[in-house]
Amino acid sequence: MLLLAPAVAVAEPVYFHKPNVEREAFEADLSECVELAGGVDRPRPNIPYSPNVYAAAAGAFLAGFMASKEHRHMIKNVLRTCMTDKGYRRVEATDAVSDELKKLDKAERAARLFTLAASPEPAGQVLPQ
Amino acid sequence: MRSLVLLAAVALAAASPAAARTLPKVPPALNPAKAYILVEYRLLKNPYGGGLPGARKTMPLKAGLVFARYDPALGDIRGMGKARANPVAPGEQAAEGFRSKPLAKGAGSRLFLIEVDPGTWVIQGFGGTSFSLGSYTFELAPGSVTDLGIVTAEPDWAEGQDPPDMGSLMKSAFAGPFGKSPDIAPMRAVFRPRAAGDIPLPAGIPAAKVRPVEFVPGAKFGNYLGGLVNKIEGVNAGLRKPHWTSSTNR
Repeated sequence: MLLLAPAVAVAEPVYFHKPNVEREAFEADLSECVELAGGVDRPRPNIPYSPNVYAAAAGAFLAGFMASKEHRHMIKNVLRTCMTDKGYRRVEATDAVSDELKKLDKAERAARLFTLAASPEPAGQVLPQ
Repeated sequence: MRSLVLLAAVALAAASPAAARTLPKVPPALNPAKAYILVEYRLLKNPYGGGLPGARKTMPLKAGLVFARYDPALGDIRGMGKARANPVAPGEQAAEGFRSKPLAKGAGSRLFLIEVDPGTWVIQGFGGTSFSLGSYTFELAPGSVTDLGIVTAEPDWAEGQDPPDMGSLMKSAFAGPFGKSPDIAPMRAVFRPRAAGDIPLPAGIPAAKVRPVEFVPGAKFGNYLGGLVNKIEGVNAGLRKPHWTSSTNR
């Protein structure tokens, strides 16, 4: 999903695949789902109180870490549900594809992602729907 | 100074939109300027009970349906997104969240009566899940009670995901913040008409004023609840029909 939506980046090299999808339809679907994912609020970290400043700092760090992790998890879930609703399957990109995409600029990457999404066969392991 | 603050607070309260009311008892008379929603929730089985002595059989109702005013022409919730140009009039309510004030309790179910402004409403979500991918709209006529029937809501688990149980919760607790995040699932909701065996219509609600809801499916809107999204019937449930009701308390 990192490959698809930098604005809502998460760490997995996952892309969405729907054989022979038209470019306009793909862009519209993805844009709608990214917009819905953008509506996810960042969870408020639940920071335990401690009179010890070091314990409080450690608690705040862990609470922030957890909140951030939960936020990414929710964004990923929104993208997955939304794209599944539109008939896409999640595909775990191969290392070669991931490396290739990392070297491309934004426009080239978008074009390459579309070719990956619309290809008759997925380039990687198809993940659970 | 204190009276000035008090006056400002009173003025602010008077200027704020009229709050919807989840009624804990049937009013002596229906307000002809308001509309009423009648809905019964089925409670979910307690997944963590595991047959332990003293464990509760059903989960408490901590979250419920969220209703919002909808603009079918612009295709969004009024005052938001595509329908930003059509907010509700000042003093009217734009949305109504869940308040745990049941009108009646049954074995495994709770009945609610909600007083709102008449108009076109949409089921915006359940708890923190927004039904942005497709929900139901319905019309509320002034002075009438619209019966939504019986709603059963449950998590809509995706393929390869499992609901948490006591074992997975313990494992997650021991792993701490660096362990694998537990799976999360958006909610889904299914309605059916009221039937024999459900909580009967409370005395005091004139039967002539009660009408069954006419849902119009296919309403889409933005994610304004800040949580997960789904289609009201469940995107994932739609992929693995039937048997979605296996965990409900029927």
